[in-house]
Amino acid sequence: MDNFVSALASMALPFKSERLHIREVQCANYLISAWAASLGEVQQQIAVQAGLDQPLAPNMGAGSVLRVEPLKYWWLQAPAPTLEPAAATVLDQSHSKAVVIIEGEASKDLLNRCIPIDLRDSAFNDGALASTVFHHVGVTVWRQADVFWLFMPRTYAQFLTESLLEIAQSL
Amino acid sequence: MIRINCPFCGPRDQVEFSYGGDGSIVYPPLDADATAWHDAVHQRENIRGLQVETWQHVYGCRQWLKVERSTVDHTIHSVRLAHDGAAMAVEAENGR
Repeated sequence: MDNFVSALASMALPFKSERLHIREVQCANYLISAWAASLGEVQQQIAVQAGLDQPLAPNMGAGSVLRVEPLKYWWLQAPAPTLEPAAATVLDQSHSKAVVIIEGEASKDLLNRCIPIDLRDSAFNDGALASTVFHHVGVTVWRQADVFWLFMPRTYAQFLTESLLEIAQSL
Repeated sequence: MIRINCPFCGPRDQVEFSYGGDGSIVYPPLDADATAWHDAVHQRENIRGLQVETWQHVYGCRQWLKVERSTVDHTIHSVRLAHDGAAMAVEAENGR
């Protein structure tokens, strides 16, 4: 992904408090779409190319690949994987998302005020992923160990990040 | 608040879904007469009880679902992906 222009350049990031750390990350985002008939093959191919032990379960992410829909993945690093066009298509959508990483002991408190997802360890542990709504805007959250990645549509990123920072002040 | 158990995402609040209408309609061939199309597009049963509906999990996995819902008490009896290929793929994985 070339010529990265931050959608959050005007925001007060990184944000640091005793219990929270929010920062922007720049990452590639290739959308991989399989067909129902080629899913098995694509699952294997992606596992091999990403160096995973096993294919990704629904709504899980590992390494830098996320299974976001039954037939779709996000591949978060360059270069994109090599897949047969008959099996899957690959589309660079890096510029369509703004991404922040939220860490610290209050990260779940913060996200619980924003999205209707059960973030307890029993329901949302390492690798778990959820596409959901944040103030009527579709977002995707991914948990990597104790760190939360929040993917926001670029045009709403400033608005959502403002809300995040406002809430973060109170935690 | 209705909660729908999405086959891909698990139970989620209704706010993530968009209602698609009657899921039992079978549309006639393109060259069918106007009456057949009128009926398919406009005529709906006003069911009291179990109804098949389409919903899209538009803020989640974006899949269209076929949902059996009771119009009396909103109980949801079954949820399946509307796309047969995707449904079979996900069911095979969930049964793994």
